[in-house]
Amino acid sequence: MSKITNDFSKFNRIREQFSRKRNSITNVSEVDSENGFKTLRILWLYPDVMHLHGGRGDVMGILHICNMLELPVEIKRWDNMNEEIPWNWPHMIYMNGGEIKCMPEIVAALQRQRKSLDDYLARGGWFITCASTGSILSDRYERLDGTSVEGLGLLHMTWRERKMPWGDDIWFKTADGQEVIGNQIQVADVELAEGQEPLGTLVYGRGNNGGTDEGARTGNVIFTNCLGPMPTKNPEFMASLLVAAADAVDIKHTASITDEMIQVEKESAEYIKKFMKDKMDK
Amino acid sequence: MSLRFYAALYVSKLAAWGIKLIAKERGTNLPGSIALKIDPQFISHVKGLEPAKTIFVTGTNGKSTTTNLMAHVFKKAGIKAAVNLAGANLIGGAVVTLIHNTDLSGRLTADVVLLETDERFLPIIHKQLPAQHICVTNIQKDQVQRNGEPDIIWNKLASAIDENVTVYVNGDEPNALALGNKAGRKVTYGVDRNSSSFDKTDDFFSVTMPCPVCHEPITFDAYNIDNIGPFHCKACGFGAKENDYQAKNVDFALKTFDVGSRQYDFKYSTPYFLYCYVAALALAREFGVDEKVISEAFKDFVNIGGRMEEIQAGGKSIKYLRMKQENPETVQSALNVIADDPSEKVFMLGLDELVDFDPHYTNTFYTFDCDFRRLVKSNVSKCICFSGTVAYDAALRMLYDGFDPEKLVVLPTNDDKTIVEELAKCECDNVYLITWLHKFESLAEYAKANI
Repeated sequence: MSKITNDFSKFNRIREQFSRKRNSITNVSEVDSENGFKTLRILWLYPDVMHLHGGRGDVMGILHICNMLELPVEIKRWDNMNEEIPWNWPHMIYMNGGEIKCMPEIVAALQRQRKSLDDYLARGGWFITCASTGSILSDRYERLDGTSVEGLGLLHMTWRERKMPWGDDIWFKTADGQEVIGNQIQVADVELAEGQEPLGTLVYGRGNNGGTDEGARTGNVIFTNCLGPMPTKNPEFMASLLVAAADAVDIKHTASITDEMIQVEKESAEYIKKFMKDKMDK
Repeated sequence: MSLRFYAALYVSKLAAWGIKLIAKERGTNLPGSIALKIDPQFISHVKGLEPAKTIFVTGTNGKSTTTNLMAHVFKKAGIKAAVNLAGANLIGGAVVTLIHNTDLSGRLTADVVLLETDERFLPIIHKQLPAQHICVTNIQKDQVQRNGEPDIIWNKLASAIDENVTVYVNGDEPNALALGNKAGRKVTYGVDRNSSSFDKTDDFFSVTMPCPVCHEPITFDAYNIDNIGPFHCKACGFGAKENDYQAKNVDFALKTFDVGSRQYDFKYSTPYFLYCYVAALALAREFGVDEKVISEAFKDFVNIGGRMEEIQAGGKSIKYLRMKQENPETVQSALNVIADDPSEKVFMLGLDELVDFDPHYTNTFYTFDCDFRRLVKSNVSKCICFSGTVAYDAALRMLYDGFDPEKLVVLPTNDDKTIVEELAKCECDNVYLITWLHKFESLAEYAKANI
């Protein structure tokens, strides 16, 4: 193999400086910024509760990607469901995968702050969810026991709990042609309502329900089934979302991601795509 | 009693005898499958089974070791146990255990029944044999392709627990402890904070887990194993105030711990094993086994199929640490063992695509639930990541936790020759290997012959 050209030195220097005793982490000391004191502000929502599927790796990936982009970022944890979210602070809210059992409390917590949530989204705030956490954005989640939970209705989709979970690889293309790969653990099938746009179209995998749709997107509100962690395996796709969020609030990035920066991710993707192609051929 | 039962009993006994003669390794499940085909209710038809003298040991991690320990303690105490030591923990394995422990009239010949039971199969077996004693070691992330999330397993176990059941639960593991609320009686066990305990406050990215009662975050006062340790929920107060059996004064160097006023030996002196010892102790005491007998049994206990093996090849000591599929806690325990060795070492990480169920897939995301940083800082002179499909994903995980890319070798292959040749280049003789069991076996065979 050739020499590894990825560079995680910034990421690890930053990580050494920020412990759990602080509730935020930032790369401002490490990036060449033209932005003065401005940072892209990301709220990592309820991470202690959303503890599944290596989800903390999503946010590790986001920090590393911002470092590569020379994009100043501050990521704040928000763990307490009983406290009012500081809605004027974030430009982006990110929630990684968690257990379905926690969704009613999360929906209830956000419904208590519904006006602030709606105002946040109206200002152009982003809300990104991965895996089962996407159910909180749905119209409704139907459990096998016949009960159902009303979601926030930000994405028009219905979730139906599966009798058996489904785990597989996933590969999809977004509307602007970006490729995303990863895995999915499906505890529910997702049916998009008429008119609801998916996030992408499947190349391989089950996606929402075994059809051609993967995830859902309305403006800056996004749900994907993709795990991996999604950002660490798809730095270019995640970078496109981060740059769009930053551009909207006039925060500049001063570098672009090159193939050398993500050599290991690129190599990984080739092997995993080949693995999926072999499954498709069978 | 139906003719169907006797037909199942005799045919399966004959099959078990025949298999023992010609292919011993196939004996764990096949006779059970035969018996169930003839009589699907075979277990419930066995004579002399007493729910009050039946123990199921279940949980994500530790059920085999705990069962093996219990079996050894019972043997020392002169209690004859029908036990599935071979690890066949599905319904077929339970049937085989009973076939081996019944006479020709179909009557149980053992004093107690002790069954390691797969979490998913426990409710199914429990319908035929409603054990009144259920030990739950922990309910953690595991095999997500079929289990989805821990709550799915929690609900399956909960369906078998009612007021007739006494549960023996790990009071340091929130999900297991919460099951106790559904039982008629709850016996808890735990381990004090000790020299191997750790916290996660140094990592901004660390997470805990939701409280199984109120779903707010759990606070761990210390971790004895990943996601197991003294804990409480700040929101609802859930937590074991005081465990019924608590290991104190834990000394990993002397390999001793205290419960009550007695000191016990534990020669498998790792935090993971310690919980198994204390679980077995709690069960044995509740079954009336004398403390002295338990203490003597622990001294000469030999575990079957342990999680660590060591082989010598070409002057190198290769220490293999077994991991379970998609089970971050077992990976973390293995990483902690390696990190505890301060001497120079080579670390080999052989994750691979998962092939236990269809469709096969390339999950490595569970490694992000683990923390590799202590390992990275523990004098690793070289790391070899190998796999036919996910070698680069393993490498990426190491890089995220600060491993020097100059010391990292990625081998995108499963070829034993290539992997062993890379290992042979290393000057360091102290080698640690984490991979699946079948890969270890083929690598060990090749290494012994070729380096």
